[in-house]
Amino acid sequence: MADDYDALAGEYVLGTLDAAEQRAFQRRLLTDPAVAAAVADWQARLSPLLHAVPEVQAPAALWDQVEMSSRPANDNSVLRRWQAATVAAALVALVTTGLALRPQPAPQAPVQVAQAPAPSPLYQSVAALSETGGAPALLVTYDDKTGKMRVTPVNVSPRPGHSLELWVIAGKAAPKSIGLMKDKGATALDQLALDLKQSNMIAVSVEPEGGSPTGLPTGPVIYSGPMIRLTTS
Amino acid sequence: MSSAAEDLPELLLAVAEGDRAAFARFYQRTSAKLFGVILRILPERSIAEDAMQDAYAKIWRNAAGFDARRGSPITWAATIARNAAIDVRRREQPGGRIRDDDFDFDMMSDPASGASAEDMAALRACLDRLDPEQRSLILAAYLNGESREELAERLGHPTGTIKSWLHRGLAKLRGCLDG
Repeated sequence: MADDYDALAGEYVLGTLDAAEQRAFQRRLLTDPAVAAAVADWQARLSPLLHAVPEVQAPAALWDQVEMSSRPANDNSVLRRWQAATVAAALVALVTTGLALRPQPAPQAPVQVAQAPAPSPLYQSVAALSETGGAPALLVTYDDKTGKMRVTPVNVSPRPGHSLELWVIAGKAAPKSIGLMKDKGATALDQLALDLKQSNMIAVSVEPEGGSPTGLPTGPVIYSGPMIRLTTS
Repeated sequence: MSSAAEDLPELLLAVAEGDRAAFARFYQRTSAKLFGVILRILPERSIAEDAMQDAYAKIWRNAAGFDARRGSPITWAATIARNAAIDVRRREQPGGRIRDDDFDFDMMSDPASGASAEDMAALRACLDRLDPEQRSLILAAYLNGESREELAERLGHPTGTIKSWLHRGLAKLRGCLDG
């Protein structure tokens, strides 16, 4: 179990990977639940250290600036900085918030192609999105001829006051927003051109109402899964 | 003070629903801890204050991602603060100022600080079992945010040596904690 990715996960949490190693590791993190679980375990192992750091009273004026960042204004220096942030920084945010502090996950339920719905004229690709190591929460079907995607919640906990945003990560590219989930029922998207020649991950992040203000995920990724191409007859 | 009776998890739940007053109380309850964590990594106060803003902006946006089954709110928030500070440190001061003060292990037995006493005791005991160089590397990286290059320069060893010491130290720590 303690193979190379565990050492990398530990170094990732410590923050001692160099920039290239960190970028490469972040890609694995988004696409491999075992790697994400290893990072969460290292966070959990080391985080008691943070409690030992002495408290320091923050300057009173700081609250006003912090409070600004909770206002839904566009003219906001923190948000602007976020807009300028690199893809890597955005991914770090995902990891530090969404995946932090997960306990040992249950063994991942493999997405079994055999259990996927049989190929039909309506779609050629499916994905089952789940929490890291969890049971499927969303089913995604996609038809590349018509560009239609359907996202059906199976077991999704509501996130009041937030929007759930759908992303596609094609190969090693940055996450690309493909739309917001409806509050209830299935979400139908069309005119989506996915390049099925490369691997596609579909992910769902928790965003402020109306979606990410930055064009990249800003909230935790709560579900993700790979698109699987069904063999069409 | 009625706020003292209010659970941090409840506050975070309200923050997730966009409750600004709850956010203010969450800040009051957690800002001294988070500022302490950030200042170790970013000793320059003005830069540390910027990182505090980043951290609380993430907390405000991501409160819905907090899951009480997965840890305490203070650990969740302190982890966000640490990562925000390291992001700033890597971006804005690659050379970074270095703190070489010793880490006070006795603070780890403070039961009021939020982690479970068993977790703290276990981590402390396992860190004590590491070789002193491995332990100080892990602590300098985790608590002070020192990069591999900074550690290599400070200790006068090639980065490859630092990497292998870190790997050995982490493997031993994991074996001790999980074993």
